[in-house]
Amino acid sequence: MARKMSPKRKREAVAGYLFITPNLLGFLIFQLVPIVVAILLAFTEWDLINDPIWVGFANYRNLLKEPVFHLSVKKTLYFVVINVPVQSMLALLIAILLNRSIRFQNLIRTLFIVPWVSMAVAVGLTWTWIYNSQFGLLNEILTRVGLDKIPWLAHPDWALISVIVVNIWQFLGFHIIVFLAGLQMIPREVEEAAIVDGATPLTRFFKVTLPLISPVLFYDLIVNVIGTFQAFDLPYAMTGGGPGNATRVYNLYLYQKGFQFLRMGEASAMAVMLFIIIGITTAFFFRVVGRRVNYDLT
Amino acid sequence: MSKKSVVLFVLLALVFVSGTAGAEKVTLRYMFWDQNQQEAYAASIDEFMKQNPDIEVVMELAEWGDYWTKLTTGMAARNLPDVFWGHAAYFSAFVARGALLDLKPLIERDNIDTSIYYQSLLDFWSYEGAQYGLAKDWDTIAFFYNKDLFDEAGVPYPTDDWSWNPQDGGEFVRILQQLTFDDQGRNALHPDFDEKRIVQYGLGDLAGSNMQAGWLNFVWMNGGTGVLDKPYGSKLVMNEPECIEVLQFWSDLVNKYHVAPPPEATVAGGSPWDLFTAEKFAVVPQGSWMLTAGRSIEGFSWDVVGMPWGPKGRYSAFNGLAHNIYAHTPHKEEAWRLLKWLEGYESQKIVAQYGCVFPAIESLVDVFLDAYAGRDPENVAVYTEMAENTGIWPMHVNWNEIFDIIQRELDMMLQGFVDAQTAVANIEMQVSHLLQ
Amino acid sequence: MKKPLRLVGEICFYLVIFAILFVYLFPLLWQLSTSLKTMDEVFRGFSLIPKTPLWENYTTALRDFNVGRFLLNTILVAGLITLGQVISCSMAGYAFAKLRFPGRDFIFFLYLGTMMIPATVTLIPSYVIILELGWIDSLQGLIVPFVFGNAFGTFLIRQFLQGVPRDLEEAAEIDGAGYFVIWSRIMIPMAKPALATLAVMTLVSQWNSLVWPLIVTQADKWKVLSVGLAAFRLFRTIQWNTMMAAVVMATLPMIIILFLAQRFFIQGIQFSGLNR
Repeated sequence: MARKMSPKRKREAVAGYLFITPNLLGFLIFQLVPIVVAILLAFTEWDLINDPIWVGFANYRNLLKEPVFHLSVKKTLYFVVINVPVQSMLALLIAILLNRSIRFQNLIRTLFIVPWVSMAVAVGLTWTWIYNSQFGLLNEILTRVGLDKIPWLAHPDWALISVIVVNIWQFLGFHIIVFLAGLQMIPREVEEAAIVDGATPLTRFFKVTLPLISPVLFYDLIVNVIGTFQAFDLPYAMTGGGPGNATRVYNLYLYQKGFQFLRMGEASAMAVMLFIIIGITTAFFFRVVGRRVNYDLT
Repeated sequence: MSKKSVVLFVLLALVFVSGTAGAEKVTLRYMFWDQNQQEAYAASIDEFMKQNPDIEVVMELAEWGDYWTKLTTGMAARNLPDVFWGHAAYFSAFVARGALLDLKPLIERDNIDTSIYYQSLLDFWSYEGAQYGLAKDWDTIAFFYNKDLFDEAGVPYPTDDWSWNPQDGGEFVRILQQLTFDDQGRNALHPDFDEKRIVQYGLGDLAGSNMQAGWLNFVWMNGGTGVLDKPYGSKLVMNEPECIEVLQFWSDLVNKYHVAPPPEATVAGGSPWDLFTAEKFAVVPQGSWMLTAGRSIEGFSWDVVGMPWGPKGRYSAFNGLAHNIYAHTPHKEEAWRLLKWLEGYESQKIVAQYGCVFPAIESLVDVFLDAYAGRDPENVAVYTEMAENTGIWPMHVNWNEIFDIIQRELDMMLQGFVDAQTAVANIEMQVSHLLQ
Repeated sequence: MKKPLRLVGEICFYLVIFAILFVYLFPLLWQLSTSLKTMDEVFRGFSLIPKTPLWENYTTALRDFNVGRFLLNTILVAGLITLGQVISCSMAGYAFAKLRFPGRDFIFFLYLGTMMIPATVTLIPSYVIILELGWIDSLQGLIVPFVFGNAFGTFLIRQFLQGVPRDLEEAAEIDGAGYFVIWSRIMIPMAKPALATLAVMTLVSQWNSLVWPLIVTQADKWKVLSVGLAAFRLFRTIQWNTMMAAVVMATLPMIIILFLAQRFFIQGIQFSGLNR
């Protein structure tokens, strides 16, 4: 495009560059450069104090041999596999429930996102108290109805699911709003036509509603999965990874490796591997689930 | 500008610079972890600042649980305090990263007389030919016990020759069982004892993290080597049968004999020390550094007794702290002056008078013991006896990470989730790559 | 006039919804309730309403546990970042929407790409940059990586401004207005809804942020609420009532803003969920 630009166009172009400069600067320094640095760092061993030492693929090899690394991957996968479907189904259900011309719709929607605007750390501490084995609300209720207390956060078999429940609880509202918006995009006529045709609510759901919100659902699922893979705040605030390694999710382990034990090279390798895992999962999603997404409405 | 005004300006600048340089105070950051020793050291440091008006020392207290993380992240941020407390098990990690100043040249330059210290203490701080500390104090382990609770239960006080064994606990467990009560007043030997409703425990502070004042001593007393085969060794020896036996015994104390509570994260009422002072525990193992905390005990009388004798004798962990200097401190000379003072006779005398830790200078032991004349505990000298027999202290460059794993897995064992064998196997699996 | 049966049905419906909401939000009520109890009540009581509200818990938290400082730091950090992002994204959004310059679409495409990259990847290198600049434990260290805006915000503003008709700009250009004037006098007022949306989304996100402040602050001086609260768990004796007071102080401001700016939150969530 070697067209000569008129002076006006030149001024416009200059203005354009000037206006994007702050944004671009931030992007270059804190997004682009770090991605390259992360990849490079992963090939080194560095404790931040002495100079980095080049070790090639040793970090990757060592991590793959480490039992706790495998554990953290498993814990995180478990987290994702429970959190995403349960949260999405619940959110969809509630969205369908709320999807009619009802009063208080704004109030109701707002109330549902109150946990979402709350600090994860704060939410985590509140729930840690509710989950307290001796004095927490939940066990108090259980005792009063004659059941045994449950070691929600104290037992390795219970801790992770307890944290996941809080995660589902906290972000539920966000997904309700997204799905509500998606549902509201479905024209009434389509729904009404299905009712006229004699379809039961269940059939209506599977043959009409679901296909028509599938784009929204699909996108939301992907974003949810990507976010959940990086879960950190709640496990950090509630258990710090314990008891034992029960809640040592991937990012928590990464943080400890890098900032508690000063193995920056290994931590970077973990970050790169996370990127790859997420990439593969997303690609998988697109290939397998993406086919079933119905874009007719768009 | 005319020549005259340039000269004037330069003169003024010189005066200004030299003036402020003369009045410039160097500020040193001093970090430590024991709140109980704060008063004593504040007194010593005040005296130091009086004698050295050009140095200002800022004391920073960081709780033990946080201390090493703080120092490590401080290392990462290239921002360590100038002078700080060092601990034998952890300091090699800092040396390996070039964070500690080698004091040998300074010791030689200033002709420091190191014969006044217990020699074994100095050895702690030498590593590969360099010397990273002098000696601040030493400590051993014994048991504090609540005399009133013993009286109430009608149990005679533990004697110096009390014993334990890993098979049935021996006299040690028998005594503790008589001091553990459920809410119906039944003790742990009673057939109807309800372990779900215990209101008073015989023993407190059993936790994976309680190695120095806890399980390690018992391992030695059973003939075990300890954690590592030798200082800076690369072999984990916790899998010795003697060691596993002891760890299982510890787990039994909680889960079988029910004389001690598991290390739950939030025990109502607080830390093991708070629970001892609240009379919820009859006996707790404590290092001699806790004696000064004992001064604030009101409402019951207490004393100390040495470790119970185990199958292979009686051992206590013997440790000594020292002050370290950050290798990259901008104020090396001033930091050295502070360190010299703190490890010197005058300062250690001041601190000993507060009775918080046994001074590293041999001749000052009596000053420390005198601080306890006429008050609980009567048998404070027990701690000096415990210094006679000690085991091998685990030291390793990656100690921070290794211990993190050990405490976690042992906590799981104490909670009853796994037995000692499995816990040690888990530890082995996770630390193997850290030991090379 | 609705049929009685239908009315009953409707009332039942709303009762069910609000019952669900009550249970759903109960933990927050419990947190408020615990924050006003005495320690005795905390361990023994089972009621939602404390006997006599212990407001001292709040002052204790503010004074003795440094929560006051954390609160101020959080306000400063979140506020400055929000300001920076609004300005920076509105500038870039305007440029991408309305101005023509070589490489515009390519750069924008690149931006969108980075939205897909997990934040974990850039974490350590960003830390290293801040470390090398000597900005650990400083306000700049906390703010700088975020104050220049982010892809989401730019995207939001761009989409919005694309819908603004050209006539206003053309009229302004005829009057001899420069691009800066067009931006500040026309685009910004026009984009107010989008800017408000961006502002509240950023404010909440930064107020609640944990990881970055956690790694760039060590000393108490610049700690923010999330970091300060997280340390509560490590205390040997946990004062639940004071802790809950701190928790309430950390969450209430954002809840208040939520209710004041409901519309913008909903729009923000919808935007992030519905664009493709």
